[in-house]
Amino acid sequence: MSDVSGIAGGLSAAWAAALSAASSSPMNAAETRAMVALLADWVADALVDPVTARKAGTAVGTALVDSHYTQPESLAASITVLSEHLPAGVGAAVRTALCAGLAAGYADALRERTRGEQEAIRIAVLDAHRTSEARFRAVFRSAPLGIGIADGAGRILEINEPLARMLGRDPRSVRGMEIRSLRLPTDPPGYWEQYDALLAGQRRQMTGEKLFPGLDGRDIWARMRASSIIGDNGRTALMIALFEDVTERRRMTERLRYQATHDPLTGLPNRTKLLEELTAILDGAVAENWATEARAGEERRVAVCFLDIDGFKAVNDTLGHDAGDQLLVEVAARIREAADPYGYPVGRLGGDEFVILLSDTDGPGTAIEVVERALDAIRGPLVLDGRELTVTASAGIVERSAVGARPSELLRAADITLYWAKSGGRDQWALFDPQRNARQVARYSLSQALPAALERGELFLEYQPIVCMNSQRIRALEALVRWNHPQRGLLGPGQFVPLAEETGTIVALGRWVLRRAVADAATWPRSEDGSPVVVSVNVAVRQVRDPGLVHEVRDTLAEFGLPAARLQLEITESAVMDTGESGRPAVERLRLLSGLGVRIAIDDFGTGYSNLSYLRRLPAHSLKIDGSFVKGLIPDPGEGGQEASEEPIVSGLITLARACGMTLTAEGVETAAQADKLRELGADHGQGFYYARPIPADKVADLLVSGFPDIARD
Amino acid sequence: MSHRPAWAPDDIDLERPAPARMYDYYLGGSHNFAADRELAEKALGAWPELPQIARGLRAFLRRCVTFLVEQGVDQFLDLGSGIPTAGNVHEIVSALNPRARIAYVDSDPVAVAHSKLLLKDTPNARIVHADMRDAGAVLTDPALDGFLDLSRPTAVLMCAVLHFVPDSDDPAGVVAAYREATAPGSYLAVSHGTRDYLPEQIRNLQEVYSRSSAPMTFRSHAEIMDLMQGYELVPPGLVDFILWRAETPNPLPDPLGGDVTRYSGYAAVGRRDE
Repeated sequence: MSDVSGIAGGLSAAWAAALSAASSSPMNAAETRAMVALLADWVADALVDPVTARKAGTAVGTALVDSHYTQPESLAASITVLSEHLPAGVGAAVRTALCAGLAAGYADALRERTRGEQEAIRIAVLDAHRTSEARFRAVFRSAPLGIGIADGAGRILEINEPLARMLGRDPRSVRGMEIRSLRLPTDPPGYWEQYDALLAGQRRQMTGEKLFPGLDGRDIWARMRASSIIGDNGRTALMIALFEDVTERRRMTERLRYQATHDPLTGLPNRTKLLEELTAILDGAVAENWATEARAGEERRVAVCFLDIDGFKAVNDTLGHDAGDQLLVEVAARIREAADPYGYPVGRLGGDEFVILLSDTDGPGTAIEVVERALDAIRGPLVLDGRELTVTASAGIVERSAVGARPSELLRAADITLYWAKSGGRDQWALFDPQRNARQVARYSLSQALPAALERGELFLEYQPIVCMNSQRIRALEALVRWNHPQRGLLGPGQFVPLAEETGTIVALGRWVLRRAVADAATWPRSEDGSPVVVSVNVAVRQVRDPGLVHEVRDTLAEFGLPAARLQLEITESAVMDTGESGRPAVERLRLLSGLGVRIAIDDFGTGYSNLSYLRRLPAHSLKIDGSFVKGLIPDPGEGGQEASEEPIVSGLITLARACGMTLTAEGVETAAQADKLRELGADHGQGFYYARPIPADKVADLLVSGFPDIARD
Repeated sequence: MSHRPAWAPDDIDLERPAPARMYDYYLGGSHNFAADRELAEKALGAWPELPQIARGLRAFLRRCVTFLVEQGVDQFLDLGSGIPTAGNVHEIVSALNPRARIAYVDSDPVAVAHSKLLLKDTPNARIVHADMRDAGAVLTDPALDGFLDLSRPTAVLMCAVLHFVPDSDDPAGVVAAYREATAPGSYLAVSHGTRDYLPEQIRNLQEVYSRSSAPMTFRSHAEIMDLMQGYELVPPGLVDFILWRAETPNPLPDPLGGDVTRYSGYAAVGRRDE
């Protein structure tokens, strides 16, 4: 034993060097040396018998592995070192037992360690999987989106809770189901074609919005985005679809759309909605017409009816807006009730204007029927604000072929027709008449064109002499306006002046005529006998109502230096008697004009209704009687003389004029016989073709100087 | 695994070799799978000294961590910590300063799970599952909140990890991000493979690793110096890692005979001064 007790030191140094060359552990040199010194001591103490040696060998092998010398070279190096450094006296049995123990101990420990490490890494993998899965599960479960996964054959693998709720199914019950079996009739067009393409790998993504019948009967709209995952074989391996509940958003959109297309008071469709519907009807008719090559007369027809409460403004003004609103609601209900049996849509265009749209009409009959029902219904008594009252409505109906009609055109036609019904006396309907409309349009366009025509100088004046019955001398010239219309040719005053009076352009026209006539007259020479010649200008009722007329006349006279006495204003009998909005006749204004020194003539006297006592007080200088009286002075022998002569009437008018201190001018004198008779009866002045036709402005001066060459004078 | 649907996305692909488990294999460990061992054997074919290199790198780690504890550092952020085999940073550090704290960071889910198991009963060490390239994600991980105090000096360890960051991932930017995030007086420890000595052999090794989950980029001495900009290198500077503050006196013999070319790697420790 003593010879082996000293071996530990040398063995230890050699062993540490061999181990560090062969393998390594996390220990530093000092720690390694300390560890190996301990092992060398174990060996030195165990070289007594094979059993002890084997035990020590086993312990050393285990210690090496525990010290992280896990490379097999560590074992090889250890056996080599031990073999070389064991004293020669140690027997073969002990040597063998030591090495066998070392090898077995090392192998056992390494096997255990390997198992432990493999187990550790396996647990780590499981753990990592669980963490990863937990993360994935959390996404899948707690996502606010519905998530569905299907395999490459279109079978559902799994859906999450939100999607299950949308589908109204248990998540487990859908596993293995064909996606296609979830098909619904409400699915949007193209949805399943997209799906087929996705499944076939022809596309990678699809989107769509579809309806799900929710569990509790609450419909759910979902916006869907799906994408496919392509497997190694190039085929669709998985499909993943995300569903977002957009029900609220859609509801909001629909509400907004409803609000945008409906009248909040009556709940009826508004103008926008009606125009949409009308457009759809017309487009449908055009498409059908195109498809079937229908001939004229076979196409679909359409009717648009406008209804408007008569005197609605008065209700609003007297009973208040709340009552007005109640009335609108009630009328809306009655119109709807009237149209409902036919299924025609009713809308409110705004204000008190309602509309009924009729598609597939075959003439105005149905529309008239519906409108009459509606008007009847409206006429029924109603209680408003505790008061019973009766309202009526008027209606305009337009019915025509739907092909070639434009919505705006139809609405306008219905509106015009409504106006006809109103102006025809209210509480009635009118049917659109294209001819009547065409006339109105022509007149309207003429009146619209008038202001521009004035500026372009398309209007000009002619003058017709007014002649003294006795002297045959020209005392005055009446200014007559003409329009040289670029398309329609020469237009006389009758063709546009009444129109201008209707539309109000008469004010501008009258102003122009006054200025032009005054300007012309200022250049005229005196008459043959040296007396000044008057210019006679027609003034319309609207002009008389215009408070600026007096100033205008005075300023114009001053501008052109024409003495007031040389201007005569012809005002029709009806204009003189017109009480206007003020309820007072125009006398005041005539008096002011007269005060300027201007002459006033009452035109067309005897054609209207005059207050004779009032006539006396008029500041007028002259009465002009219409050509119809003159014509009747000498009855046409061709007509059998049945007609009585107008002579007594003309005579009476002359007397009346005298009595009122006015002169009398006869218009429309065409023959010498008429002229003679008028003179005989005592008329002061005559005007007409017998004396002269209207002449151009630039010929007036010559005429005044030379007189009438062709009229015999006494 | 029973609750895991077969179609669920899997970021744990055992068919794909992971450098952390290959490294464990070089070190003689069994925390690895067939795919790891297979590729590791191929790598050994290209570079038979890899086990010795791995051991040498562990030895450097031990020396440098010991040095850092001696400098008074008591917070460690070990980036790319890998499979926690014996002789890990927290074992070395705790032996010297039981109150020091160590945060490990790795992106490999298996390495992370393994570390978690190992550190279960170790309150002064934690593992963060994150990619060390994303400094923001690492530093804001809830696990670090209240664990490391970045207003005090911290040692950031990038041992054998930067050569897994390709140039396209801006390794200098990654280093700078950690430098910015740590307080003055903080340290950075780097060990990094180099192509300076055996470029041909390195190319073969790179070829093998290109098939793993983390391809390698070996860099020159100058390039590694550039990565450490902003740090004042402590002596001996950036040197062959087996020479960095090698054990004296009386070292054990080196298995590769101290041939630095066969180790082909540099190491350095730098200090952030301002």
